[in-house]
Amino acid sequence: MSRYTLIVQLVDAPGALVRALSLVERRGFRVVDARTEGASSVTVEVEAAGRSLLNLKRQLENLWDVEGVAIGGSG
Amino acid sequence: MNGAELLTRELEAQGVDIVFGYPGGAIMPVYDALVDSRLAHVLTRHEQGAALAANGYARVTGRAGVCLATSGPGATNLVTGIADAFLDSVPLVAITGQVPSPAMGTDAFQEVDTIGITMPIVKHSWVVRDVRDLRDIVRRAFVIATSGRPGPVVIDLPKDVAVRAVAEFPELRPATAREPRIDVAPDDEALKQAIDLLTTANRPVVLAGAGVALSGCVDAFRAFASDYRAPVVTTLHGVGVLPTGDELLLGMLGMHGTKAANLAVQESDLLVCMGVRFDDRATGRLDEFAPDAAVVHVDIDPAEIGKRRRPTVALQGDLGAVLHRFVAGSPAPESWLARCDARRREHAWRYGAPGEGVHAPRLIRDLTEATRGATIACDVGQHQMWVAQHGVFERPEHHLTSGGLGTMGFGIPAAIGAQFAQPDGSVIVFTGDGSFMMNVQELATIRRYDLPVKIVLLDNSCLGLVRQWQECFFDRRYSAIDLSDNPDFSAVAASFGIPTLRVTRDGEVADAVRRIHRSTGPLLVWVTIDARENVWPLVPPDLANDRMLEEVPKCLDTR
Repeated sequence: MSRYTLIVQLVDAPGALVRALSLVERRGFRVVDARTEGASSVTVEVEAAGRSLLNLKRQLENLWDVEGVAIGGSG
Repeated sequence: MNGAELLTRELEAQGVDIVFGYPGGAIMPVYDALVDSRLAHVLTRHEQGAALAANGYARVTGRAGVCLATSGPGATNLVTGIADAFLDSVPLVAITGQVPSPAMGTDAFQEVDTIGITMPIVKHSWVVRDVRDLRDIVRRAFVIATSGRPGPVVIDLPKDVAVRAVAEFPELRPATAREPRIDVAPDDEALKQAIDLLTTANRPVVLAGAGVALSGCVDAFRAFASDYRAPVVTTLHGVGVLPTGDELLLGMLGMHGTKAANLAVQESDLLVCMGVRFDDRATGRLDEFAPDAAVVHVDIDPAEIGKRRRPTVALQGDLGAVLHRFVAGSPAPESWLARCDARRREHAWRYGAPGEGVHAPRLIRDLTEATRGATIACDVGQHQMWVAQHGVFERPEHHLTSGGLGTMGFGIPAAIGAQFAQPDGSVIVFTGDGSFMMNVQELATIRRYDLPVKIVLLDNSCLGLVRQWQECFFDRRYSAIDLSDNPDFSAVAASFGIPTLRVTRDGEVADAVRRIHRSTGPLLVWVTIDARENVWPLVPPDLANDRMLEEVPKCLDTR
């Protein structure tokens, strides 16, 4: 099981945070921790085995409320 | 003007001419506004019928289909149609009524969290909290549904917002979501690498999927295929990218693909994949799929690149731009095409069936041959696979099938939408006795609007594909597949005012095909087929695509 950090930039819109976090879980990653910085950014720590983080990043970027995703460190 | 009237005006402004729906409490202001609008409304007999009819309409036109439903059960009944559109990348705008804003979150009558329920199966969704946002939301809804990789969106409209008075031209509020990314051109260096691979490959195969038609590139694809002269295989949604019988076409790949297609892919040293998502039904066991092939993957959706199969070269962008550049490549080796062609001839479909019973694959071939150019809608099950295998198609837009979600009950409502999209076109549904009963109420819609849809019901008195799997993989322990207590389908059709043509013997098929072709109104063609008939070939689950079965295995239990 690997652990990763994602920094997700969000549009300040209703439901944006829920959309992003639920997508992470739906695509097979477990949200271990999530810290918001205002309404426009969330740092998410996730765990997964055998899942592509790059693919999750692209799926998040497909959300219309997501402005960008950066991949932080892994552990 | 109120919010509901503004909504109908904005739908008109988006070029919408028809909406499919079913009224109820929370959406009543919108139905009131429809009275004075130019929009045609098609009343289905179930909200799922409305969503799937809008889905069929969108598949034929390439424009967004629109469906309406009330809150609560109206919205939940749309869910299957929305999910179907999501998995098959169909542009759909679903508009739901919602309880008044102050009642939201109080478990009010017919209140559900429509946005929450549909969140995993939409490209985007909105609750309209302020009527001043409505125009902007509608505009964005259509852009998002139809741009890039198409898909469904949901607009949830609380009743108080729908009845709120607005100025004639309300001020547009600032954007609530980022501007959509519009189609992008592929990277030049990646294009060069891809062309190099195409030029040097010894055993290339082109794999075409839904994206070819969705991007409006069928003609460009055909020009590329004609120049490159590599064998072409398709996914279920790629059926029709080349006309049936084309010398380059090996057929569909995957679980029920042709032997020629699956073996060519497994032997290939280059797979040129256009608008595909490497669905498990197409790839079989993924780590043994095309094991020696370099992969060039072209797709508009970056999230599909590398999702299931890591490409050698990824071309994320507009397929049209890529095809335009690919035309400059060299042709594939003739010896490889000749080898694939020989195998195609060796394993061509054979239609000799014993006995007097109707052979469904031959009926499908004969009818689609006689009605070339017709739109063929399918339900889900054995008949769906037979249509993909044996149907005669000129274009992919002629083949409406629920590929991703596999929605039983899809066929009849999708055909209704297709018929509204092309009132003078010929629309035929192939369905089974299981699927037919799932949206049988839409016969009333066919009758009400006098749609000349032909429904070919292949009746084996069981859930045939489930039965086949139980026979092949569950040691013939048949469970819950018997439908021998089906109603008298001709009586059912008659009760809706639709005539029935009964076909029980092979000798009746030719006459039935002629009568279907000549018929000018709706018609049910009730065909009895042998319940023991199976779909072959079949790649067992989690096996490679070259491990095809062509008969029931003696010992293969994959539970």
